[in-house]
Amino acid sequence: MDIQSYLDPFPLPAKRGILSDINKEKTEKSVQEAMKDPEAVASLLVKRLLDPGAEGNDIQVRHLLHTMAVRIPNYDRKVNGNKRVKFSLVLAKSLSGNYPDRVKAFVIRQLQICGGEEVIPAIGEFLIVDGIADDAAQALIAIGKVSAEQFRKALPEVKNNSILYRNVLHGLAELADDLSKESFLEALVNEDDDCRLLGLWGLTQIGDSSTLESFLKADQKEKGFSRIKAASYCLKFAEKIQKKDAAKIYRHLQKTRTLPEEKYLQQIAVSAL
Amino acid sequence: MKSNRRKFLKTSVASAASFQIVPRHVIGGQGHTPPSETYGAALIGCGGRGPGTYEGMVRDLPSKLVAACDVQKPRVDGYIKRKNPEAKAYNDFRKLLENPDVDLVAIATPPHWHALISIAAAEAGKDVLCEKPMTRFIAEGRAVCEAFERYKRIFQIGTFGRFGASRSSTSKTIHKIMRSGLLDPNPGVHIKKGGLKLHNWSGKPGLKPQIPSADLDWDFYCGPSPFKPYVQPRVGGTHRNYWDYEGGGMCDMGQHHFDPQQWIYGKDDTSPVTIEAFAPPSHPDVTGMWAWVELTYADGFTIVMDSKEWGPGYDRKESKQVSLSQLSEEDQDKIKAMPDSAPLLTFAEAVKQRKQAGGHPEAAHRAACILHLANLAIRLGRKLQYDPEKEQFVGDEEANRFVNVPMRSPWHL
Repeated sequence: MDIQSYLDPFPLPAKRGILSDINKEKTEKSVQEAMKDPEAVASLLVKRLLDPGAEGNDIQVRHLLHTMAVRIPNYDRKVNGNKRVKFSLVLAKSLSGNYPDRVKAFVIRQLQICGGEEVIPAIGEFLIVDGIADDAAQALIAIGKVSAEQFRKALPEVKNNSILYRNVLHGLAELADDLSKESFLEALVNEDDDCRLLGLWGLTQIGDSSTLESFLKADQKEKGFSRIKAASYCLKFAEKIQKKDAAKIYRHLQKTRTLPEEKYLQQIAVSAL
Repeated sequence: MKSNRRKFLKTSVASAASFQIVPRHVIGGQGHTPPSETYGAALIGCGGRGPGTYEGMVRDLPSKLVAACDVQKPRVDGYIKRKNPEAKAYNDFRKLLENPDVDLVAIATPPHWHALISIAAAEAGKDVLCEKPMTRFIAEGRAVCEAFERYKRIFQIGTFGRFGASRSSTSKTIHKIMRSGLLDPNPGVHIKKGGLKLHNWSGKPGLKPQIPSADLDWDFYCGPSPFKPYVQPRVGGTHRNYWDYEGGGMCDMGQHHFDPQQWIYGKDDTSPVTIEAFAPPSHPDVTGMWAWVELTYADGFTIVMDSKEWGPGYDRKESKQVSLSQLSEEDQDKIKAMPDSAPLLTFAEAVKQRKQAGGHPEAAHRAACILHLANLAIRLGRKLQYDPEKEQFVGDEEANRFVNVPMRSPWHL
């Protein structure tokens, strides 16, 4: 298959370097043709992606591949098909190939748009890879709660790398993963400010009253902006749980936020009680 | 727990008249200026529009600059030197927000930071004037609304056209007709022709990565957005051309235009339900060309953006203003008997009175949603159905991935 004919209608930078010379009719026709065999086209397009610093350009390649990723779910909806899954699996498979990290990151970003359950394990592999883990995490979060298992699986492997650890904790918190309660509690005593806050946020997200005592104990230790942020988690936690437990949080704020500049928090706590 | 949108609005409106929580400035306290003296003001984002945004915030308020922040040190140092050499300089907004002398915060960073900094400022007990566009994606706006409701802080978006619109007798009449619900189906069609700067704010794809200057913390600049190789146009005014930070001329100019229209047409508490665009395939990184976007509200009222810079002109509907003559004589009398809505409060009035500002979070969020919905119809290449209560697309899970875009660790809503 020669995919150049699919790429030619996509524009290269015109005057001032922008894509102003784009023809809707021709590009739409090209996308329609490509969608007849999206697996084969995707496979060939990935091979033509370039590292951003490499010689040459892949502007048209990225444009077409992205358009297919954006539109393929709707093609399926129209004909009750399964092209999206097949297309996504081709992209996912390419992640095990010998491509530069920034190429893989681009492919992962396309899966963030169109991927489903079928690509979760392939993306999950990258949660332990420096420089690409955040792309993987955001794609998994977009796909949804079903991807939490990948974060749980990665957690023990990233404990000694603060950036990767923070990234994984963030994913678990964002997905409000009930099964990660212990991981969030463990993070409350981490030396890194962001990790402790992610622990507090994770517990806020799952809103389990049984963690309240540890949560409030950890809150008291925070200083500066972390203290401000921790108070916000207190309020959000209180909004999620039963009134009786929420009252414990409001009383805690009343008791601990006693600096002159914290009077607004006192007032919120008092008015909520 | 997500609040019901209508309930939330009712609560917000009710609370507007009864904000009880006063800022630290008014309370005074050890080491602080006593009540009714001077507000401590701060600017976050000192380049471009920053100084102008700051002046807009402190207009009619006794204030002094006590702090400023920018990820580029020379910019914040230069601003402080010009404005008040005694003010404190920061490169991290979180440190600035710890400063108890700060009561008011002007936010003029690129838009991918607007929501997070606005929320953090509210959490720190500050009032905020935030540059437009309010947000980078829809869920950010809802989170800002919830934060300012939770903390009873004042928020004003950095566009002021609605204040003039709310004083015009024609606009006031249209506003009453729209809010009355007497015109159903609504025949109104508002067409914005041109002015959304497609060519000015279209991006240049395929640039080769460069090394950022030593005074720019590139990682922090990217913040919640994807970390991408640095190229110069990603910083400065041209950040508008990247989906990672803004949304082209649509978002840059759109809030100026549609925020007042949204007030006139009484849509501060809702969003369009169908959105359709005529546009070519969109590039993954940079903003580009489109011809028109049509957005229709549940009552039939339609907003059209006709770019006039690319492709065919919009010809599906004619512009049609809402007027009293479209109502029966009996209904016209009802409208004439309706009192005018309360005057919109400026930021200064809102701060002093502890009441909601005219460009409050819900209104600013709904105006930003018009732009985000339009851009998503352009980017996704399909007609979209939107539920303004749930703030989700209907039957389109993949489109909803653009409503709440995951942020880079450790940032989150």
